[in-house]
Amino acid sequence: MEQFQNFENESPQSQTQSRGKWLLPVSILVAGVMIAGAVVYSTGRNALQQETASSGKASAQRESAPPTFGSGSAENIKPITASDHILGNPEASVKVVEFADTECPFCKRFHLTMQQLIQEYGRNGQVAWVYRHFPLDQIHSKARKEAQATECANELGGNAKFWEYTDRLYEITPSNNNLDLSLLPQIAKEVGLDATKFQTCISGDDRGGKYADHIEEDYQDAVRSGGTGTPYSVVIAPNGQKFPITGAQPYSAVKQIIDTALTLK
Amino acid sequence: MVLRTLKEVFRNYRYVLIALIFAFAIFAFSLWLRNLPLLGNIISSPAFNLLGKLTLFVKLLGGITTNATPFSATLIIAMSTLFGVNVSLILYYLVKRRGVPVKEGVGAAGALSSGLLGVGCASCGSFLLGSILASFGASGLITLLPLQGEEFSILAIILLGLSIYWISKSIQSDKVCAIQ
Repeated sequence: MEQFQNFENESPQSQTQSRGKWLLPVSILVAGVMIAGAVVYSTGRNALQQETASSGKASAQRESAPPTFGSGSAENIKPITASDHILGNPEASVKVVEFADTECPFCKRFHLTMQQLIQEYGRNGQVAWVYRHFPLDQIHSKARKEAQATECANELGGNAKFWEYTDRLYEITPSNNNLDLSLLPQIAKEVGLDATKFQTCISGDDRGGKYADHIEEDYQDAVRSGGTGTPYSVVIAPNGQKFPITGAQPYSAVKQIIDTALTLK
Repeated sequence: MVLRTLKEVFRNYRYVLIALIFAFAIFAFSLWLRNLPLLGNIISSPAFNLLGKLTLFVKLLGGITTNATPFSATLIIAMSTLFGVNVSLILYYLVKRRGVPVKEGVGAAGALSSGLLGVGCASCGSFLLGSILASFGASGLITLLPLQGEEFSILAIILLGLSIYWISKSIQSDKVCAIQ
């Protein structure tokens, strides 16, 4: 009886100790499963999207169906053509297609990261930077007009002026829709464009004026390619493999992806 | 009361480790959330060896400085820390008291869901919230929120704080005999 009472007294404590022993490993496991589950879920979803995109049915859909925000895949990205804005060697092994909004503060930051990468890889023609518009109208109502301004710079001064204008625009804008749009012609003058012709070119509605269709096409391409915010970039390896990068990721991370992409012949 | 509970629980190093593990898991997940397709590609690509994959995962954590405003970064760190503490307290309660703290558990789960909705980039489109609203054709609603979705992270922090308070109260109240 006494023994039984002792057993009764000690049992809950030993049960507690036994549970405590498993607590740490089980916690590590649960935390690991939480992360792995999310990544595996995403891998499966991405693989499915890639599979669908490679079928003829999907390419037919790409032409007709309007893209749904958040359902795209990098595999659907529009091929790079001579009409794109390319900095660096157009025949480069690796191409980084960036979809950006000039009023997004992280695009402003990532612009510097891309400039640094082009400094390093652009000179020997290994990497080219392709710029496409992704104006987020709901939060940056001025972004489309600014995209139009960069297109006007391209029209009046060619690809070199497009990049010069875009660089200066990112330098000047305080971001978050705070750029004074009256500065757009001033930037044009600064980079050596004809101010009068530029003024004529940027006239029109806020949807991008004469470049409305072109900007909208870039926007739809961003959404189809999996863009859900800006900056959104797709690193395209020589063998066609694509690495989608969302956000202004650190230089070291983008550099590692590019270095790896360069090995994929 | 909360401080007393925290002292009691974190006297045992195992609960400190559990809090750190879960806080790190949520911190990492919050930063990786917007790049899940990239992480999927990295995992499945034979071009990255194991070390390369791990290094890149770690480098992407640097996004806390390049891809978040100081305010967003503070919210992510606060949410992760509070979630880690919450898990530790709930496990302590489960082990020591052998009961399931339903209210606190639901509070923590709700807080986490709300927090992850708010994770993203306020000035460049929130990830989960934006996608969810867009699937209902209501992506414009996000512009009605003054912080463009970060309200959900603030709500998460409040809920996690409440959950910690409730569980601390439960842990302490189990030590006294209630007057019948």
